[in-house]
Amino acid sequence: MTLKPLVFVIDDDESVRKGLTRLLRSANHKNEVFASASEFLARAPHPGPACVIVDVQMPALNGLEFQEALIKRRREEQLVFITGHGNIPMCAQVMKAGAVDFLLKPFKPNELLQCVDRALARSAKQRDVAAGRNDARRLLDLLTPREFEVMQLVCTGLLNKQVGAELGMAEKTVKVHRGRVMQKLRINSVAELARLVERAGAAPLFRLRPKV
Amino acid sequence: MTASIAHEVNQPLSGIISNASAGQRFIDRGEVDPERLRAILVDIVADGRRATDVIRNIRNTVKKGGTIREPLDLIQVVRNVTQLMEPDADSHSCELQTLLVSNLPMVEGDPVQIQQVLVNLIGNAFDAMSDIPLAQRKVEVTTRLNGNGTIGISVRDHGPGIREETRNQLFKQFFTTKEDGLGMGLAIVRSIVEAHRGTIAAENAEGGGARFYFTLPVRKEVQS
Repeated sequence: MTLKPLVFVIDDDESVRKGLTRLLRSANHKNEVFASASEFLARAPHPGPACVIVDVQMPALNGLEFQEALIKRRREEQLVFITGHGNIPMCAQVMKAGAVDFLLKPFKPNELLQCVDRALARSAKQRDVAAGRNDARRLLDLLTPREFEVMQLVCTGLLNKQVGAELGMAEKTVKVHRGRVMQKLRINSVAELARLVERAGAAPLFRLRPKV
Repeated sequence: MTASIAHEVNQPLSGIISNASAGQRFIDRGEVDPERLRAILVDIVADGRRATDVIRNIRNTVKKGGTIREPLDLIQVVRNVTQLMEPDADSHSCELQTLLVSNLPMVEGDPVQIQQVLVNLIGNAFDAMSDIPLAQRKVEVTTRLNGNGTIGISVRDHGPGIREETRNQLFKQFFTTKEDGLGMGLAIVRSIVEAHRGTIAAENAEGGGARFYFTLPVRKEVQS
């Protein structure tokens, strides 16, 4: 499923909104504009790659507060900040919190468009990683608690015999569990298993617990 | 004040630049839709007017010197401003010192505008010392009563001082030595001081640093 990338603009100034929406359209970026951060937050999150160009100085929810609100909601839109008068602490704050860039108004159109490209690329990559993580977790959820334990120990590189000793299980039983694990996870090697667990974002491994 | 001017002017400028750049792109792509290009140009003109209005408004307000003329205790004004700017002084790791004469006669004017003058001068003084070792960063604000019926206020920093070639331009509009400056601050300061029938000058202080010095006439007692 490939969803179209979308660029959002939040600025309380109509001139800036109009200029930006045209600039984005001229570069073939589909976009939506909002006069306030709360209007944007009221919209359903875009399921595809998303970049938000947001003004720092706005009445009500300002750009910095907006960024915090997004983080709190675990939203992953990539942010490009624009400001009429910025300063270094402000810039440092938003960049530390993960913004793609911080541009001073009046920004250079090319620079802004490059930021948008970077933001969308980052957002797309992030979505891929998240999709891979969800797939891997769905697979790991198929394991029974016992299979899960066996899988964890196999993953650390133990031999069947050692896994058996660790869990108080016959080597033969370990083999059976191990076979089922590989089958359920649709993989053939320990290396693949390690990759899948990593994709699930399950480090450190021992913290991962299956649903019982 | 200059920060908000920057904001006011930068908004329409952003609009102008984005619109013009979008127009160029549409043309480069061969999408020459006269209706669309016309709409873009209409907005560019409107934003240009808006930027002009911002500048004109500032000039008008300052020229008239505001309409407020009330008796002012300059000592009190200086105290208010230095208190207000204490956090700024801290963030610039800078000492802010006042040397005030007691029992100064009153002057007459718009308290907000006179405050603005001081805020600008002190803010500039902080900025001038960003490359100076912390221990030497100090701004001194002093007041004194001159013999000619004026009160003088000086703001002195310990920065690199004023370069000879920039001296004549300091108070001109759009002249700035700051990387992100607009060149409005001192121009406004001078307009305010002159609207209050005062004078302003800048010089290099003895022992280094710059001194900005302005005078305001003592208020004439109203006959009642």
